[in-house]
Amino acid sequence: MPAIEVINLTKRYDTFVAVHDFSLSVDPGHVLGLVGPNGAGKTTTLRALAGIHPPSDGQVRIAGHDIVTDPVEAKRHLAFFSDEPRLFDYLNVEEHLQFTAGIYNVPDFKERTGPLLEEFELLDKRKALPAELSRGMKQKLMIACGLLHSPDVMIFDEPLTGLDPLGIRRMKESITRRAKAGAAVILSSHLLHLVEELCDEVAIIQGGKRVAYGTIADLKWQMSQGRGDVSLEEAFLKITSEAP
Amino acid sequence: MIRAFWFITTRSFRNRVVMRLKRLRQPRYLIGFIAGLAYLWFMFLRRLFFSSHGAVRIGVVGAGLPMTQGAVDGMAVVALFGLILPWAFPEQSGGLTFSPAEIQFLFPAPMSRRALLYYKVFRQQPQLLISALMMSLFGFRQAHFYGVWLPFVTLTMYFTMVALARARLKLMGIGFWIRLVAVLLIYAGIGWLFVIAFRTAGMSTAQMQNASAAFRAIDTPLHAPVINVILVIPRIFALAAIPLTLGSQLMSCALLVVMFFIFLVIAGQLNVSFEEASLHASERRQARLTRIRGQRAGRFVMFPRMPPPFRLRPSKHPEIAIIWKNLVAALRISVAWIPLLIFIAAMLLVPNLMTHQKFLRGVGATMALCFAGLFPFIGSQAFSQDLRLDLPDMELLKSFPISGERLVAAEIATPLILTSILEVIMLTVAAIMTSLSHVSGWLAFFGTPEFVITAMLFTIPICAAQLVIRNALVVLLPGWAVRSGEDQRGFTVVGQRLVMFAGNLLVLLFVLLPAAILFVPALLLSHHYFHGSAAVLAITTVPSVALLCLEVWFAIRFLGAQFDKVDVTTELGVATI
Repeated sequence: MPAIEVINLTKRYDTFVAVHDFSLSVDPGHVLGLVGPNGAGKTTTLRALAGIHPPSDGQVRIAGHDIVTDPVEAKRHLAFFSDEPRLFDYLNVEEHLQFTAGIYNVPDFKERTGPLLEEFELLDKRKALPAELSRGMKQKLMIACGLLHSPDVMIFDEPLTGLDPLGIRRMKESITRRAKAGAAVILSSHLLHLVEELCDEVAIIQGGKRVAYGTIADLKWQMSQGRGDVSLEEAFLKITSEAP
Repeated sequence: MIRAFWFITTRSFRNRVVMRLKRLRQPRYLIGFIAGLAYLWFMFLRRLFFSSHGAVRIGVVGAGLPMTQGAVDGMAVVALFGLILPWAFPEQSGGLTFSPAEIQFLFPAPMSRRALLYYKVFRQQPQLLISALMMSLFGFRQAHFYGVWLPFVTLTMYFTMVALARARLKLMGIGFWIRLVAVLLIYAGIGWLFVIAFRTAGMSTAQMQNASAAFRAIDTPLHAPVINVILVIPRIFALAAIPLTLGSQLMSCALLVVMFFIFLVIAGQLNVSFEEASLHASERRQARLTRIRGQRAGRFVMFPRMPPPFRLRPSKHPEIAIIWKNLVAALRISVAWIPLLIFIAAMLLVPNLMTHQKFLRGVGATMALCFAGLFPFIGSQAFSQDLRLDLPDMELLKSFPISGERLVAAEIATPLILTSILEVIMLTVAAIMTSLSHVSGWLAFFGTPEFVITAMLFTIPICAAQLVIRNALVVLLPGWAVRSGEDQRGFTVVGQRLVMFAGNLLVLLFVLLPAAILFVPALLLSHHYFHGSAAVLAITTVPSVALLCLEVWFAIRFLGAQFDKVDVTTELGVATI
């Protein structure tokens, strides 16, 4: 059973169609890259997958639970990481993790907190409020909170924004490790080399429509047309320039 | 270069006006605009256009100051004080305040410091024009607008020049303390000259018999030869704003124009390196704005190190985590309200206990009752650690594994606990005071056990109803609850607040009415047949309390369902696609 299943997802804002008839599925242990030009509908798709806004049409299933009819159960299995870190101004780093443990019912959170804080280099900032953190640190805290309950499904919207080189490396390692442990991951990014490095599959979205979908190797093979190997970047540019 | 400055100044102003007009297409701004306009008309403009008899006023619209030499002299003295004071300011980096965008675009551009200075002068004009327009409308109608605008422009240029001069003085080794001492000495010297002038003029008690005689007596020394010299420049400013004759005003305005250019040239010549200081000034300004906005939205963390009230343990009920989070927020943001309220209660109670005068005790008791009666409104505003606080993090809330209904209930729980406890304390204090005051008539009811019991029973549902109404706005019309950074002032915002307040009262009335209808027979029953027995009243009050609780519960369920449906992207204008 796919961990993430999107069937004919459509999202409309009045007359504007942001996402049209979009489908994909991600199996446990797989990483899918969602790429597209600016304004293509990536964030709208990810927000619909995370249950932040309701789809206008279609179905989204997370770990077998429909995000519209069974949202609580679906969200228990899910972690959504937005591109902009959203934190509570009045809770410090440790309290954010404590609060997240309360929301997701993580009984052994004390054992998990230390390694997470260490992994994201936040140990010496345990008592700091968000106002005392840099943007990169806020991003790390948000990611640490999202990983605390060991989600089966992880949705990343531009996960490397604001991170330093070491943070980027650790983030990449973290995503790969968790995928190997069985998590299904969707990763949206403009950094195509990151997508190429981490993802098994890729879906290209343009104008709210899926214009390409498959394994990275397949897409590159299709786009090379016998000319030899092409990079994902070249394949992406070719697909998006040819799409109507 | 000047053309570019003119372009950005006029285009920014035009775009700002157009943007504000365009957003009137959104109902929240249109309704707020109409309500604000109505408020402005009824509170100010109507009085300016029409006399108290309803007749149309003839002449220039606007209120006015008395056009007397005394007013001119008074303003000149104030202006003198204001012109000297900036020389004593501690800021000595010469930092002119630029916006982050201005720093981004202009500082790396091939522009001289003098050009940047000219830019600042240009950019100040729209704001000065509006301020001058408002002042000429609401206080200086005889100044004919230009009489207010020109002093503003010249003063702003003067302050800029002084800021740069302070930086130049610092480079010359003349720091803050030397300037401060110099300014104090100048003030002392001028003060001494004034004292001599007043002594020389002499003032008798006879001159203090009526206001106009006293005013003349004070004004005469201000025309002593030495004082006349000291007040030459301040009088130029004053005569422009308070024209005694058209000729004197025109002359003052012409002199102000000359002074403006002199200050501009001096400021340009000072050539102080203000870029780095401007960068810091800009950062400080942004931080201050963020802090002010945070305070206005009830989000400013006043006590960041306040420990949580209890240790949160993971459970199957995420509601507890939300209540815990909001309690932490309440302690760190709004805890100052608690000692303040205790102080108010003590201020009402202690003098009341100390006095033996029945009337004074009655007044104190009535005040305490009114305060307790209003507290559900005040408390719901003071303790806003619920959906109102979390509105910017709506996206995060919606990703939590909790149903909308349970989330809304949990969010409201914290302010409900706090306001209910405080309300019970307030009511108890008020009832004790009423009982001790031995007042007679219907007021005496508020000092009886029946009132205390009834009030206690109603406290939680009434506070809950008020909080549900406040939170309903966030869920049903989040666009009304969130304001952009530019919306901190202006009569559209005043209008929006008025509409929201009126709507709040109306809905509360609608919610309380059924319970009140059910409560009246219960009160009459206990009063007529059971001699006002507190026990009977408590029992007969239960149905109306239950009805109120039921209404609140249905409202929470409704809001929860709406919360699940609400699309933060469209409602809060999240632009990312």
